[in-house]
Amino acid sequence: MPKKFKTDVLIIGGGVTGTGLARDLAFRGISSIVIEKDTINAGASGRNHGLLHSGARYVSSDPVSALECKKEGDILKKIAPHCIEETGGLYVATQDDKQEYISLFPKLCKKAGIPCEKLTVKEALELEPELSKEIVAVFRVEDASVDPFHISLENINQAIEHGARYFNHCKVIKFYTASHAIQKVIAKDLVNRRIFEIKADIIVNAAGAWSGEIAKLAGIHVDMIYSKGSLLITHNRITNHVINRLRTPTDGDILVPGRTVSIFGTTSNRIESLDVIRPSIKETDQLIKEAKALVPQLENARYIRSYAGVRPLLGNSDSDDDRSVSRGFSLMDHTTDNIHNFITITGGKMTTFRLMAQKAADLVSKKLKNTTPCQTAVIPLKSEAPSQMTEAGMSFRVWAKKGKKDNITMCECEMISKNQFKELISWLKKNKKGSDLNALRIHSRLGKGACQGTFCSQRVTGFMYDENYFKDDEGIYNIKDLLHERFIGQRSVLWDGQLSQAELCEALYCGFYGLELEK
Amino acid sequence: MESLPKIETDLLIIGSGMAGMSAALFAANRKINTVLSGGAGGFEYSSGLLDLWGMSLTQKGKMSKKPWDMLEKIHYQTPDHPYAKLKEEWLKKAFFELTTSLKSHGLIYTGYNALNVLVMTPFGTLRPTYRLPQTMWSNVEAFKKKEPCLILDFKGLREFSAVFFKEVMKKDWHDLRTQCIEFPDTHLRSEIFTPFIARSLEIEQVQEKFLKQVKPHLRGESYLGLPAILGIHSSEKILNTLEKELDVTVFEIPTSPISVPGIRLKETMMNVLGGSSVTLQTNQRVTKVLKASEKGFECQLGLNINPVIVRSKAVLLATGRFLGKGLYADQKKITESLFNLPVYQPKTRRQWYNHDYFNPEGHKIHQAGIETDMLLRPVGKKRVPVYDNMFAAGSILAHQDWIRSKCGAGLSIGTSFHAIQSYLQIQQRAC
Ligand SMILES: Cc1cc2nc3c(=O)[nH]c(=O)nc-3n(C[C@H](O)[C@H](O)[C@H](O)COP(=O)(O)OP(=O)(O)OC[C@H]3O[C@@H](n4cnc5c(N)ncnc54)[C@H](O)[C@@H]3O)c2cc1C
Ligand SMILES: Cc1cc2nc3c(=O)[nH]c(=O)nc-3n(C[C@H](O)[C@H](O)[C@H](O)COP(=O)(O)OP(=O)(O)OC[C@H]3O[C@@H](n4cnc5c(N)ncnc54)[C@H](O)[C@@H]3O)c2cc1C
Repeated sequence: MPKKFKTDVLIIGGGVTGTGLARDLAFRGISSIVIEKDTINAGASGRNHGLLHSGARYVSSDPVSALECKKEGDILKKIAPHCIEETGGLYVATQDDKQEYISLFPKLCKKAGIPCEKLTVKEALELEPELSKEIVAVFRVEDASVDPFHISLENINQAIEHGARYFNHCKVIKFYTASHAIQKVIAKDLVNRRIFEIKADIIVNAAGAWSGEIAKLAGIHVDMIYSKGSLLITHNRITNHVINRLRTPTDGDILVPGRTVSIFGTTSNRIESLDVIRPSIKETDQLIKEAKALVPQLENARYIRSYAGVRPLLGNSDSDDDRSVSRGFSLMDHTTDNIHNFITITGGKMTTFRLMAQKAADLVSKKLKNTTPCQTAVIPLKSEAPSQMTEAGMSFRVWAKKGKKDNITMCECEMISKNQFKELISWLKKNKKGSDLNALRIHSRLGKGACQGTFCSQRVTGFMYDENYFKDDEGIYNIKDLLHERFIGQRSVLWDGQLSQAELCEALYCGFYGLELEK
Repeated sequence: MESLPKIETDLLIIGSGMAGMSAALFAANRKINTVLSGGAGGFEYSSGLLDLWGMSLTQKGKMSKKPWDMLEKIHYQTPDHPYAKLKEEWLKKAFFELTTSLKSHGLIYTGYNALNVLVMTPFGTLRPTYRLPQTMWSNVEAFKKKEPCLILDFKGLREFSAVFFKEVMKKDWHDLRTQCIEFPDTHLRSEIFTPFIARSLEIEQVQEKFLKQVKPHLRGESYLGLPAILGIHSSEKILNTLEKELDVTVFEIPTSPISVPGIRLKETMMNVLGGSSVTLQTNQRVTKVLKASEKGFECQLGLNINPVIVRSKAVLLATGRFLGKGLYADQKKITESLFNLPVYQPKTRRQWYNHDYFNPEGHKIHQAGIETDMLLRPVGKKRVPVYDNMFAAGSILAHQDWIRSKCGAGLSIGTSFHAIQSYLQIQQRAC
């Protein structure tokens, strides 16, 4: 007999939207289960730029979205200041950029309600000396940098604290529909391969780029475009502000600082399938070529990783440039498709996830006849969990603040200590989450610094054994998985300094330990 | 430029990793007037294990016990491999000469006559090697016997976990126990490193305290396993003292670089070279090549601090790969850093790495490097030597992947021996 679960609402997808929705429903007293086929933020939510949009990017193409961004940004800065760095943003034009758009930009901002201030080139260069000396116009806006992992972890943890449940590594594979409703949902636990059932009054499809696939399980067609975007992570933080190229959105026009690193991107390439999403070497090179016009240092910077995400864009597949397809979100009540307890919420931006969750929760509430209003805009987005460890450079600050003495650094790149890992693991255990290296990586900065796991993975594994978290040869698989995963993200940026680093890593784990010989 | 001090020599060896250092040792034994230039990123990473060839050539991903059988196969299976250019006799001689020199300075290497040994790593796994320090001999024996054994580790030492070792090893070897102890006088330190423990153990008082700490934990085991920490210069003596006082057979488990056995090897090599025909400039990298021709070479060593000019008749290039900085890669291609020698390499960056990190076939980038003639002289178009009197040795050579084949040290030792022989041959021809 398969295991059975019951809940008011089943949320499919553990990205920022799904977790945000669980939080919203929990505050309204509606129970939910979030089901995720991988781990938190495995989709676009963990593979984006980390830019909390001021709205300025959309003033020309989509002024409505622009204002949404501004309003939501203001709310998040209030309820989740610990996940956000208020860097400010600069829009910078070079000689090659269209004069017409440069002079139109401040007017469009004003019209859309987006604060924007003109700076002289001299002022801008004083603020950001790494900017190209060739720039011709600069505007300052209220962009900020946000840690998406931190946000989603706070979402889900706060939801769990208010009664929600969360299933990791479980994939929705089938719907049973009868009398115009999904009667039960069949899912598969990808770890132990078991099949189980969930009964819910309402099913919400928050599967991002995969929401077309989910809708298909209910026999519904949702027109989706998959637009892959690739990003590069630099070894050091390059600028303090978010730097945007002042032109209509194209490739390689945003540089976002994230604590100790900077993230540069993106590309936009249409893909047909979601099976393999990774950046290609061609895209990497294309990005770097674009970069130097804005920040010359980016041409010779050391990059430690690259990654790619898929934008779930809806509708109108005739457009030439996927960026011009609306970034606004879409909420679908599938009553129109003759299934009355099924909702899809997709598209949009991370910046507006809270609003998306609110709209979806409003619809759910209406269907369940629940009248409690939304409270997500006022309650601080802060759980009890030690999730601040996902931010670059953050764990050191936490550690330094606590000032523990009998403590050992496990990871030098990111300054994570033994006690921090202990704290994290006991929390993971308490919440019935896996406590393998992969879980530690997701919930902390493990393996994310310049060494990409070379030094920390063996140390942390030793520690995991010492503390009895690992048994038998678990550690071997864990190290191999971690290093392989880290490698995939580095493959397209392996030259110069990062190549030497990779050579050292392979010399160590294959040359010395011979790990490729272990099955 | 004229004001810089000048050194005249016959041979300039560039690089002081395993290859450069071995070449210097062979040059010293042959009284060749030599300057050895070096920099960071080489010898530090020696694990102290001397691999010759660890993998099967017929079954991919399988270890081999018989390195010489494999080397014989290399000659016809992969004729481009640097090993295919070496005479088996010379390779044997190279190992023999090197280990004999080390032994005469107190560092004993052992192994089976012509076979590989399997040594236990800190991960509780086994890997093949050819020669290992005497202090690790019982590591090999203990695994075969599987008698009761205590594995020790130390508070604050992050590079070795006895429990890790035991948990992985226990399916093959049940009688393993672990114990974590505090190394004498380290209670104020939160982190300690193996070189620190090793140097402390050279002090007699520390040794005594250490023995006192270990003794109560032994319960009649036949073996005591430790990470490699048994001193730097008198490891043999420390091993004997421990075995005598504790009445147990003691063995070391090689730890990952930067490791004590690597430091032992380096410092002993330096002792061998002291007072020889080799002038050590091991903290001075070659920063500029001023002249390079059939007549000889002129290189600047060092940049700001005491730079010197070295004029030499010949050059032996042992600058390593990307980590050593002998090779350099930008987004488009791989180049040789000093002489801009032609580099054999895959056509595009896309081919450098495949997608499976632990693929037993390895990644194509590791096959990139300098191609040579039979005398190990770098060649250009039409396989003609770029310079008559330039030789290359070690991991910079093309058509080998020491990481996958487990031949790091052997390749360096063998090719540097061969390069020195070639140098002598060319000199003779010139006379
Ligand atoms: C390259 C790039 C850069 C971006 N930059 C920014 C930015 O700077 N600022 C910003 O505001 N927005 C940005 N975005 C947009 C933003 O990332 C997305 O809008 C947002 O993350 C979408 O979140 P989501 O939860 O809806 O979808 P996702 O995060 O994709 O979540 C969907 C989840 O559903 C899971 N799932 C799929 N199928 C199943 C199944 N069958 N069973 C169970 N689970 C399933 C997936 O594993 C996934 O975790 C960017 C997007 C991309 C691609
Ligand atoms: C992590 C690791 C583990 C290893 N484990 C093992 C093992 O278990 N068993 C084994 O047999 N081998 C092992 N090896 C391999 C071995 O130690 C050597 O790396 C290998 O033999 C290659 O040696 P090499 O001298 O050719 O190159 P390198 O060791 O890279 O040395 C090159 C040297 O040249 C110097 N150099 C470069 N440019 C200049 C310049 N312009 N002027 C002067 N000097 C310069 C560098 O500073 C460096 O010192 C390991 C290597 C690493 C990195």
